[in-house]
Amino acid sequence: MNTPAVAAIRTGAALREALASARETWTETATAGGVIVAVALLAPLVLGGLIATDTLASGAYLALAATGLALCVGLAGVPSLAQGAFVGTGAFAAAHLLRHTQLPAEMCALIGALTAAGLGTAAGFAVRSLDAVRVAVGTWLLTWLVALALGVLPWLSGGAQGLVVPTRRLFGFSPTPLVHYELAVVLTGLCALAFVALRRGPFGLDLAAAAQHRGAAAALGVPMERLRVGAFAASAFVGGLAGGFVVQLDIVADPTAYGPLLSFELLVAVLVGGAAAALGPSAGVVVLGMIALAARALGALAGVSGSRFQPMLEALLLLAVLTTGGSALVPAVSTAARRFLPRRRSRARPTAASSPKRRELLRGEGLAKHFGAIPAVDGVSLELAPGSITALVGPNGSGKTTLLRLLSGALPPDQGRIELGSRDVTTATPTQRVRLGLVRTLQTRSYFGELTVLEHALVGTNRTRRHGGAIRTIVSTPLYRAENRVAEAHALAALEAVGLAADASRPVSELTGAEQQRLMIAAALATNPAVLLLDEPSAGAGSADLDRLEAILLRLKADGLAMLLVEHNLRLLRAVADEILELELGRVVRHARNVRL
Amino acid sequence: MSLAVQVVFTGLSAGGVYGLIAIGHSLIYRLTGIVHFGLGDLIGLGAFITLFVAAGTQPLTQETVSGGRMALAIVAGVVACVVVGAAGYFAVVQPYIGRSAIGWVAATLALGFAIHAVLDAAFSRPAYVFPDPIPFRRVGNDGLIKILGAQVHVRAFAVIGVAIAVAAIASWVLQRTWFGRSLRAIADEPEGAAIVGISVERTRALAFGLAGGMAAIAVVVAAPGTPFETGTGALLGLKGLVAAVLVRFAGLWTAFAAGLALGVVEAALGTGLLGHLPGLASYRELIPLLVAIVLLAVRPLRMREAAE
Amino acid sequence: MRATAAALVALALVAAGCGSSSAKQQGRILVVVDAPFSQSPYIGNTIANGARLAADQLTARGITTGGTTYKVRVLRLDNALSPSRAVANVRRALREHATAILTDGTGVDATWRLAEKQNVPIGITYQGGGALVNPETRPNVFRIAPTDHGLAFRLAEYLVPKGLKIGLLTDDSDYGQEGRAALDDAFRTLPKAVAVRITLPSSAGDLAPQALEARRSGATALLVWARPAVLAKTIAAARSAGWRVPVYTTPAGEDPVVRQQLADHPSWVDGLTFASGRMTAELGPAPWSTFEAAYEAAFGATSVGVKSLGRRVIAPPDYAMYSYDFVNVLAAAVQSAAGTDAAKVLAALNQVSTRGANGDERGFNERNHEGVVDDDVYFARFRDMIFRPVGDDPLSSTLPVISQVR
Repeated sequence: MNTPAVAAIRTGAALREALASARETWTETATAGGVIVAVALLAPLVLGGLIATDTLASGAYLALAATGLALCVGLAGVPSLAQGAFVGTGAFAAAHLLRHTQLPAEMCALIGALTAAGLGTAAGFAVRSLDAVRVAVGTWLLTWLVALALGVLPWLSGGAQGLVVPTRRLFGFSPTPLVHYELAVVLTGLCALAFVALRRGPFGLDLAAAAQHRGAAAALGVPMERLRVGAFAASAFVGGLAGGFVVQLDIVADPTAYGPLLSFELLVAVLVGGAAAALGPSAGVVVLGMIALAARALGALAGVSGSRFQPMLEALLLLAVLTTGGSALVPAVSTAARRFLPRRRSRARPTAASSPKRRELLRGEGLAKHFGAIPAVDGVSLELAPGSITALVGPNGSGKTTLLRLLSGALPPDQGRIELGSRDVTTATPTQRVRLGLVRTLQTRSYFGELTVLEHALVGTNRTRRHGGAIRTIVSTPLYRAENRVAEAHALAALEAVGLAADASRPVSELTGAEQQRLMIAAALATNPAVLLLDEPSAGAGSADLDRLEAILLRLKADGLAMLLVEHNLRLLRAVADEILELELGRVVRHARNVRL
Repeated sequence: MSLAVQVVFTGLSAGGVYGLIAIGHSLIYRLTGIVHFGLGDLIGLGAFITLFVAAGTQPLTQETVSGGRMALAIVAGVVACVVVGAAGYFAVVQPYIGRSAIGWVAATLALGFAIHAVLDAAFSRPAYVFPDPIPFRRVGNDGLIKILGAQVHVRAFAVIGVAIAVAAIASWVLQRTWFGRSLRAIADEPEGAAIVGISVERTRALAFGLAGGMAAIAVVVAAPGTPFETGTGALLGLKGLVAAVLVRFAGLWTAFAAGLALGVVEAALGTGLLGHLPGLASYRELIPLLVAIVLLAVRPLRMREAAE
Repeated sequence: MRATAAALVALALVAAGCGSSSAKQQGRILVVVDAPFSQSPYIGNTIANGARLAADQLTARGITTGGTTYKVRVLRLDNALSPSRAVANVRRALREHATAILTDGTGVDATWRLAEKQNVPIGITYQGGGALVNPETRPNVFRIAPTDHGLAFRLAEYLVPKGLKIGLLTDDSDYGQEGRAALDDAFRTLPKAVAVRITLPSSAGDLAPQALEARRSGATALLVWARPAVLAKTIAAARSAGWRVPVYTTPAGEDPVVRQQLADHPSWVDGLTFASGRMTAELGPAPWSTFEAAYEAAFGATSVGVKSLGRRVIAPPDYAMYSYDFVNVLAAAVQSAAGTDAAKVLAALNQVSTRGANGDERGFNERNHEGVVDDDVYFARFRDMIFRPVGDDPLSSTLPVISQVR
């Protein structure tokens, strides 16, 4: 019965539920954040005499651009040096639109932001690999490219005099510096909220995992390239938006103002204030403002313009922060504050519940991979049936790890096919394979050092979600929140399966080596796999750990999972394996059934 | 024909400087796995220290600086580069290598901007003129000689010669001396080098400084051609980086050749040698940058990717 | 006896009280100088010093009007040749209740409206672009400086009879763009005289490509309208390619930066000819000499940094004259308006006139906001790092040589 009354009741119930959930997750940090934003909105009334409103408005737009940069640097760990270029792109695009069209001012700024986002997406694709050097160099070159282009192309920049921008009403208000300031504060606040929401949601977890251990994240199917391009584009959008509006405050688009120096200043603001904190960049901008005042004082003393000293003081500040270990402002403050504030009462955890199981057969036929002239895998065929464990043995260099990488998608095979159930996954990416139920653990100890045990397992559940998109995360729809609870239940179930449920809140770094290996298995289980590829799970395990591992594997087998186990430990092999494949020089030399006592 | 000759010599002379800077970038990348974003400003520092020792902050002419003082000034500039480069490495860069990408990126940037800002504060005029270390004016027709119909600066020859000489010395150091062998060992296998007893960090720091000092020599020889500003160092550093990226931070002579090629291409684009498209001259600095970005996107860098 | 003494004391007190109540109130005329101090120190300092000289003289004399004695104060703000900085500077000037804003002209297209809302006059004392000043649409913008229109027409008038094929080289700053517009206007009826028009990129390290392009076009003379640093680079590019073409230019040629950057090649500066506003007037050189002496007494002679035949070369403060004159006109306007009420001062500016530093009348009216007559342009040529008025122009040949060595 879908009458409007029922719909109204449903919406009301949803809102009430949202409010309850918000109250539940409300923290002192959130209160502090709210207070700060309120203070910021009222600042011009208090500071109006000391600092000019147009300076405050400029600073607030800078804070917006810096918060955008934090999406890249803080959330995704990408050292982007091109934010100044994105701000400039937004500014000049908006300036040209304002001069040549009659579009409303907000629309021009928005289109400027979209232009910058387009440039950001292109740049993101250009540097999507995870090599930090490539990203840093690429974005640095981009910033110089935009700055030089503005310098030598007068049709773009209006010559050295810049483009004079006609003033137009902004959201119906006359565009005074005060209106710009309030707009900038509101936008920065919204961006900070989005930052927090994304960081707490599956995006943030995926990005943190990718930043902390690339290989483990890839094995769990985190679509790192797509996420990083997305982070890049998002930060470029916010930067372009700031540029599109600030050019209306300045009344003129100045080609000298959007170069490497601006990118540097934004980076300083983010690093000094705290890249991982939502209001960190804004705090950094406040510090920059104080530096500007100090520079002006120094200038007055020396009899020259203060702007001479400003970059020097900024650079020295950053150097000071870096030499003292890089502790940033907002995290330092919040750590100190946490000592004085009472501990937050911990949230009630949902009960563990496993996801509906998937059971598939994995078949590999005629797989081959050559590195140069050397065949690492040479015509291997195998079949992993549900409810069975196949062991893969052989000396070092026999191709075991390469075979695992072929099956998991980390390497493309030169020949052969891989089928999961009835689907051909030979050309599927690791992310796609994890989604379909094929997942792998790594040989070396690889964990996400700064997460808790539960968060680690949650990274695995991210691939099973359908309502975890960015917009849903930011707006926190009911479906998103419901899925959050389900994901947590599944993660707890996975932890229970490996016996780590009691340690859910502990940081991963506190676990022993064997416990971390089991945690990797739990993260893999959290992806709800049909087929599990295990690479030496017993490395470094003592005899008690081996017993536990054996029990886990047998339980998983009884559950119906298909597993491939690369192992050296004969005891474990004999206890759990149903079939044994022996590899030598890339070929299967023995295929035996394991007769257990 | 005369235009081509002019382009070649102008281009090679600018390219010699780019080449030395490209060698510096390449060396640093292969030794430490990072890119020094402040290398250009470091070179600018060396150039301005040379100017300062030679003549203070006053305008100066050929007559006001003696040969001996100029030599002392060049030495002072190089020493300043080495000291500041090495100190900067130890103070801020080294703690972040291998640990935090944002850390060393921010550190090298901050070093570069700090140096630039100090130069800006100390040298307040918009542009400065360097005296020639050797009075080239006395040669030929006010410093110009005629080759194949083109007027070529004598200074261009000096720059090309100095650049090749410095590159050759650097190459000899890398191949023959113990220091050079340590550098190569560190580049190939840092842990192994440490085991063998090479002080990895000290060597790296020294190499950091020398990379800057090496290029500073060439800049001082080339600077008298055009007015030198406090920001010129950063721009040169950028072009050297572009050349190094174009050859993916390859070995010494490859990087040098890339720098030379970049100089010649820039000069050619600027004079319409490669076709007289309207306004193409404005793009001569932009096109190599764009090519470098595209190349970076398409092909990975030479350094071995971290093992999975 | 005691009563008389008390009465006398009371009378004295009342007399003293009356005396103090008729004492004058203090007022302030604030002149904000918005100029590129960091990027073009010669231009910035010249404008600011000229204003300061006038301010000090006026304050010493005392401007009394409407019962208030005014002091004149000068505030320097750097715009670094950046229009957005100019906007910020003007906003600050308005907050500080400036009586007038003196500028080199950077960013006026953006800032005039901000000042106009509060009826604050803007005085341009360097750039001569025609679009900058328009009494109908921009009632608060005035100028005392040679106009681009005047310079361009005089240059055309001087060069065309020589039968030269002229290469017009302008840079991409607003100074250069305005000059380009003025030159296009002046040479509109003489298309055959122009061999080529080239835009010089201000940020390029070296201008050899542009010099080469000019040479290939068959130009037999170069007319360069660019900022001083770009002018120097152009000359260097042409001369180092071995091209001995005569170069003509605007007042940017007398900026010390040009001679500083070419100090190693004095022969390249020889023959450089520039157009500028005449320093001395019909009345003769005496008023100018007085002004120059006062300027040097206050600020010292501006050293160019080069030597001419062994003696130190200085730059005569000709542009300082214009800002000096503007402050004097402003003071006269305040006097006439009996106060610093902005609307009244703005109206009064259209009425008053004063004697300028070199003896010329300076004043504006509703239809004309230009303080320098278009024809008052002369030509000077460099030799041995100092310039002398040329002999082949009727006006210039009548002018005395101003001493530039100390």
